[in-house]
Parts: sequence; structure tokens; C-alpha cells
Amino acid sequence: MTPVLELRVVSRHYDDGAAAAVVALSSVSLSVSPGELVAVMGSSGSGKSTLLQLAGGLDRPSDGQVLVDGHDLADLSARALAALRRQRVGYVFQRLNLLASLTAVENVMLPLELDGIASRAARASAEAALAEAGLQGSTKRYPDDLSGGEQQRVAIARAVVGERALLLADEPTGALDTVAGEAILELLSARRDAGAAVVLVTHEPRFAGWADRVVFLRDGKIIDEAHAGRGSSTLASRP
Amino acid sequence: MGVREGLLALLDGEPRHGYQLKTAFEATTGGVWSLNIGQVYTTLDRLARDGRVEVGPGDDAGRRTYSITEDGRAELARWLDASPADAPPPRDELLLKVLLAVGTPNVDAREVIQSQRTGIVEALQAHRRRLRAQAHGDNVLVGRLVVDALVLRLEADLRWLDLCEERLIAQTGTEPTRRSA
Repeated sequence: MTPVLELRVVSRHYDDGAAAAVVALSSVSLSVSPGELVAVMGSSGSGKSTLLQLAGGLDRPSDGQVLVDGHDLADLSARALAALRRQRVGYVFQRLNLLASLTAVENVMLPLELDGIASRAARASAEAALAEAGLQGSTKRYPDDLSGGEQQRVAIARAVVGERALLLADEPTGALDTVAGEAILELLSARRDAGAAVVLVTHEPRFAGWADRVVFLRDGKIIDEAHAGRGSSTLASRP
Repeated sequence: MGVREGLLALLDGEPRHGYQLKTAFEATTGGVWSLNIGQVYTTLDRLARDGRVEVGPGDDAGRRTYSITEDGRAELARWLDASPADAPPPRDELLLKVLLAVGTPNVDAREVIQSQRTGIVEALQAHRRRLRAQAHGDNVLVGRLVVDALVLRLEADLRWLDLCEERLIAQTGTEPTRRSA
């Protein structure tokens, strides 16, 4: 099965003009298959967000290759890259970037309309995505009238609308309480079950526990991985 | 610890025989606390000796039914009200591993911390799977509450490991520089 996302020995450093360059990511290789949820953990400055930016084509690696759907992003024209980002990749950030002047359904329709999909079809897809997020009764409300958890679910509906193969989520449970955060993970898991590849950056272990695989970053390098199915769910044995 | 009072609580609901008590206890605790039947009968014998339960006559199969007494109810009420006496012992294996790793030359404490961290995250993944598998069965709420408790404890362990690493770096200055030539 072709991975949806593949990082091949990817490094990213920022040359700030001084003698030394800041290394944000160093020789990272990672592949995420359809139907796989991978969490990325690490302290701040470990390279988590850089990894996500590179995966989504929002940044370019200094070395190595980033492939989405088997396409090396470096080989794509700016136009083709923009189309791939719009059509195949969904982003969920801690800052939601919902447009306050648009209703929930209009926010979700936006990426489809930018892609030239007719308004009626876009609305139908957006309503379906909101219904999957449990917001069928709130489609005409404005972001300011929704709770934090509901706003985040609108943002996820916008990220998944239109059959995205790759979902990239950067601390999507950020400011939410446990139950609202679980609702977000339920949604991401449902997309994973439907065949999407999901990459979740989180500092919250309980949500990393939902992942099939957890990658630990330190100083820009992958230092370890945790795999579902290896751990024991019995009561921790303590003397 | 807890088994005696657990049996009293179950008997407060209705009189039962020993095997019913064993299965009810395990169902109530979401399957994380199994009892052997010998332990159940030993505990019931002590409760009967102390006047906390009464033993009925045996049925055709020789099973005797136990019921709670007023003294038993009073003991149960005192126990529910009191703070737990079983604060975790300081002889915690995770604590010991990290302390030994920090204090032992030739052992990379950060490696030990990371491998413990990975193990704990895998335990979290296993809990998640277990919860998912139980999502449609009986006792969904009990299963969820038990997993919540386990998850929060594991998170506390992880936070402690993070702190260990931070303090280790502050102490030894071994943080690899993010700037390289």
C-alpha cells in the first residue's frame, strides 16, 4: 500500500545569516499509511510543528524528500502544490482560523468553493461533514455563538470535507476539556477508520494513546516509537 | 485492603453466596480487580466472626447465603466516609528505576527515562483499545471510569518523567545544542 505521507531523510534548518544554523529537523524518516493515526510527541522546540508544516507542503525541507500520495512535493509546480494542499490535505490547527463573518456551514464550504465546486454541491458536502461532527443543528450559527469544542469541530469538518487523504492536526485539543477533547479524537479516529492518514501533534498523553503509533521527537530527531498492541492494559504492577 | 468493605457493600444490596460475591465484585470494578474464591470465603469467615455478616443455611447445592448485619452496615458507612489508607508506597518501581539510572555511572538516564515514557504511552494505547472494544458491552460507564483512573495515573507518571528530564538537563547541562555549525 502506498503511504499517503512519506518523509525520506528530511532535514530542515534555518540559516539566520549567522555562522550557525538552527536545526529544526534532522534526518527524519516517517511514513503514514491510509487508515493509520500517528501521534507526534516531544517537548517544545523538538520539531513537531516543523514536521507538520513540511508534511503539509507549507514549508520546504532543506534536505530530503516529502511525498504526499506518492508525489514528491518538490517536483510539483506552485499551482499543482496548491491544488494538492486544497484537495488532498486537511489541516486542523490550535488557532482555528474560522471566519467570524461566515456561518459554520459557510466556513466548511469555503475550501470547496475555492476549488470551483458549485455552491449547492459544496453546501451538501459541508452539511454532511458538520453532521459527522455532531453539529447538524448548528450549521447556521456563527463561530462566536459556538463553544470552544464546537468551534474546533467546525474546523475539523472544514479540514475533512471533500475526501482528504491526509489530515494534519496540530494540538487540536489545545484548550479543550477532556470530554470535548475526546470528541475531537473520535472525529479524527472516524476519518482514520474511513481510510484517511492522520498525523496528530499533541503534548497530551491521553490523546496520544488513541494513535496506532506514537513518534517521539527530541532535538529534531525521532528517538523512539510506541506501538499500539505492545502495551499491557492490566493494572500497572506496582509493589 | 478494600475487599472486606467491597463484600459488605455488595451484601448491602442483597444477600448473596460466595461465588455471586466474587463475580459481582469483579463486574463492579470493571475487571481490573480479580478475586480468588478462597480469598472471598476467608474474608466472609472473618466478617461472620466479627458479627458483620450472618450466614444462612446451605441450599441443595451446599451454597450458603450471606447477609449484612447492622454492625456490618455501620462499618461500611465508616469506611466510605474515611480517607483511603492506601497511599501509594514510596517503593514504586518506576521511581526506583529512574533514581538508580540517575545515580549509576555508565547508565544514560535520559535513555532510561525515554524507554519508560514509551512503555507508558503503549499502556495508554492499550487502555484506549480496551475501552474501544468495550464501547458497546455492558458496564460501559464502569469500564470508562476505571480506564480514566488508570490513564490519569499514567499521565502523572509521564509528567514526572518529563520533569526528571528537565531537572537532569538543568543539573548536568547535557541538553544537546540546537545550534550546530
